Amino acid sequence: MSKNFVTVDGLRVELAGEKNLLEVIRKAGIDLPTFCYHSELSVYGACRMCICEIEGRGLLATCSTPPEHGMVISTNSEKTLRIRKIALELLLANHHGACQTCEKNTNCRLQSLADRLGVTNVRFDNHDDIAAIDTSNTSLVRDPNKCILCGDCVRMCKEVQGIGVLDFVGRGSKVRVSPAFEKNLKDVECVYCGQCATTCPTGALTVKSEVDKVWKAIHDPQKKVVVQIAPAVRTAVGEAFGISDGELAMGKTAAALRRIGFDRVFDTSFAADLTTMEEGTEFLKRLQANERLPQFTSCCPAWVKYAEQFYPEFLENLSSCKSPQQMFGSLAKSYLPSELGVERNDLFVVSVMPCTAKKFEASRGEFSLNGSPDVDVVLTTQELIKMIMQAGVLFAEVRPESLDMPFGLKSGAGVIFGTSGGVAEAVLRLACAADKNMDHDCEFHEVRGLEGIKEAAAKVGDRVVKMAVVSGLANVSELIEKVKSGEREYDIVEVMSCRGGCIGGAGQPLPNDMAARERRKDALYDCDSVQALHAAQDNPFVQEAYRKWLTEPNSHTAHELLHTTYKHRRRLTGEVIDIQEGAAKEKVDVRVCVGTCCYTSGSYDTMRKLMELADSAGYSDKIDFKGSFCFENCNVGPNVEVNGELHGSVLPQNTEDFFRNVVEPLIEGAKVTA
Amino acid sequence: MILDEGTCMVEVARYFMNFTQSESCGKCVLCREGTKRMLEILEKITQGSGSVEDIDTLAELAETVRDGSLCGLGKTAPNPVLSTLRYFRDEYLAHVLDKKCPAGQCQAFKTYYIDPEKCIGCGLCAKKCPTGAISGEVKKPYVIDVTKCIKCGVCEDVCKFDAAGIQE
Repeated sequence: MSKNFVTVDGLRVELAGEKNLLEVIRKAGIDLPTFCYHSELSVYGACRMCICEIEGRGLLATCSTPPEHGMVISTNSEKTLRIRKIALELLLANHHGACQTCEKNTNCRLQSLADRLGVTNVRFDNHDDIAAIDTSNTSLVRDPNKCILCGDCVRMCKEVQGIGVLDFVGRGSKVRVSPAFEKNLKDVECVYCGQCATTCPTGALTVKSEVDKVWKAIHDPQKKVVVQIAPAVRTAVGEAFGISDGELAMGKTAAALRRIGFDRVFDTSFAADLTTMEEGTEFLKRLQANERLPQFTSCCPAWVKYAEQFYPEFLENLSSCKSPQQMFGSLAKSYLPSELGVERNDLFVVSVMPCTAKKFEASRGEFSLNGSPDVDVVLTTQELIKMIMQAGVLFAEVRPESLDMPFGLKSGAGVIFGTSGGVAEAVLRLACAADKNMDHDCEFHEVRGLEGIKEAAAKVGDRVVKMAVVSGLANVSELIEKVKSGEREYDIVEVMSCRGGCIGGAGQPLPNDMAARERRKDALYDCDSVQALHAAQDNPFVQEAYRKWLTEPNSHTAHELLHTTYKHRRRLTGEVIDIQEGAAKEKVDVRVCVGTCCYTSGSYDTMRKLMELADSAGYSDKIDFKGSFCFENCNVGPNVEVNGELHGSVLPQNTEDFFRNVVEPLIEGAKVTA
Repeated sequence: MILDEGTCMVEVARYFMNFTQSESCGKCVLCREGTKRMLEILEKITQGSGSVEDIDTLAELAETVRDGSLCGLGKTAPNPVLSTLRYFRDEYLAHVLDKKCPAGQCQAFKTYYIDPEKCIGCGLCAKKCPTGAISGEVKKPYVIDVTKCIKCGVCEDVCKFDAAGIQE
């Protein structure tokens, strides 16, 4: 008998290195309620729901108590039950919103625990003011009125994603969760990965639903509505209906979508095969030229936005390939109208994605033609499930159907794009095709699995290619810092923002924890196994696409349709302060940063001197002087933006030269054109 | 701090709760929400609209916040409530049942009135009353309109004849 055990409600439970008492108690078959405890996040200990009575030590929150031999624990004493019920009643008293109309209805932990613990009466009135709901962005809705301040989103964003968009503001009963300066999510560095929403126990952070837009398009007789389904969706859509087989779920989804009224059902995995061709070819070219390495993948829109904000110096290392979603949109809008006999504007492209950031991606200006987007609406897996339920299609009973051609045929390489390591493996299946038989020797197990950072090496021709596969943005940042310092060297890096890749995207149904991700990953590799083809280059419709439209990978047409560009993005948008407005019609716009760094390096003096110079030169009328906040160029302050162009190091002593060389010519130029 | 029979124990509990509630950091549910709700109940009682059920809820909250809070602030915040409830429960009951503050401290239970026997009708109190609640004719006893009176006590302060004051 082991000498390392505790007693939980009279039951002897062996200790096996559990980090806290809560895990031990759950092992004993007692599901202690929690709001703020997640095994993947740091311990917070604030919700007080997991409190238990420990003999000789009193009442302790088990999440933050390490297990010790001999502890005698009572999980359901009078005091513990009272504490849980009162804590829940207090949370409910502050909670705004009717359950029936909440996006989280039936999926809310506050709701289910209130039911479980039998809180049937709330004795306190809610006097709080109703806070504004943030619907500013494409992907997420933040309703502070439903927040219970468990801090799960705060820790998820900081610890797992390494960004820290959200944090606590204020203190005491006035404490709330908010982005910096209480701005909307749209105006801060949020990358819309939505992991905050996957961990939020209530309806405070939810996926923005666009189901109604899709119904509207389906009900419009003018429109042909086509849909693409992302690889990771097939592993999760069945969860709501008790179907775990990815292939079967895909067939049933196709059938359900046709019943709903979609005209064509396609597979994003087809576009993923195209991505492999384009990105693999691009990589082999870079490898040969030994330039812009490591090449970072660009399939993940949250990662792309993250890189644009935090690592602009690496933007040229990003593959110029559009993501599979956007490649599909671009091809569909270019070639399907003639096949389906409609105008481009009457073709409505819907994509079903496991991801909230894909909504943002589809809205990017780069991915539209004359204001008409390549992908019209992005639905998440959650929204797809809602839509199937709204339509009343009995998913468990509907007979599976096949997808439409040509964009419905894929190789296994396109399917595994949905999990971390999948893109790397797909590229390897292209790059190593000469040395390996892709029919029965196509698996690269070293890049598989849910670990945050995986490293592998593979022989491509006579060169050993060093690769890294990384998921979770905090891991990405750690890896990039190592690349920057020279501690690590890679040729290709696959990046997925969500841990485990797209299977754990925020659009997936709940629970979306690591256990669910593990299941989905296995299901996805099963889908790969049953495909007849395993490498992108073997997909006959991909070959046909090159023959008919694109000539060859990385061709001019391929670049026009399937590649994109990136831009350095500011993390925060700041308001502009009008300081002095010129009266003339043609004016030069001068914005001086008055943020902390620029201020300490003399931006106020720069501003004053510029205004004096303008005055003495008689140009006051022709210049708008404005104060601005942070151009994110803080190391070379003071920063001055003139007609949209940023100039650093405009120190007070250089101001006169700057005025003569930069500002004056613009005024003179305006005069000439006038 | 000196407490005597002129100090209302419910008001003492409210005073301390107001302090701890504003000192709460807001991390754990019980301290953040519990102290807020306890303060609300104490305010309700001292303002004259409390009920017996409120005293029970207050006691339950106080014990729960003491037992379940994360840190020492939350664990000790309910102490003034718990000890006043233990030793001065009759004062709480007087507030909610008899609508009286035994110590005469809670404004809500005070009623100002002018003793017609003592009032000589000088009119000084009417002149000084900030809400115009006092009226009357010179050399006749003045009266206070309790619906307008805000219980500021100015009339009591200015009256040289000890006529204006709190009704016993």
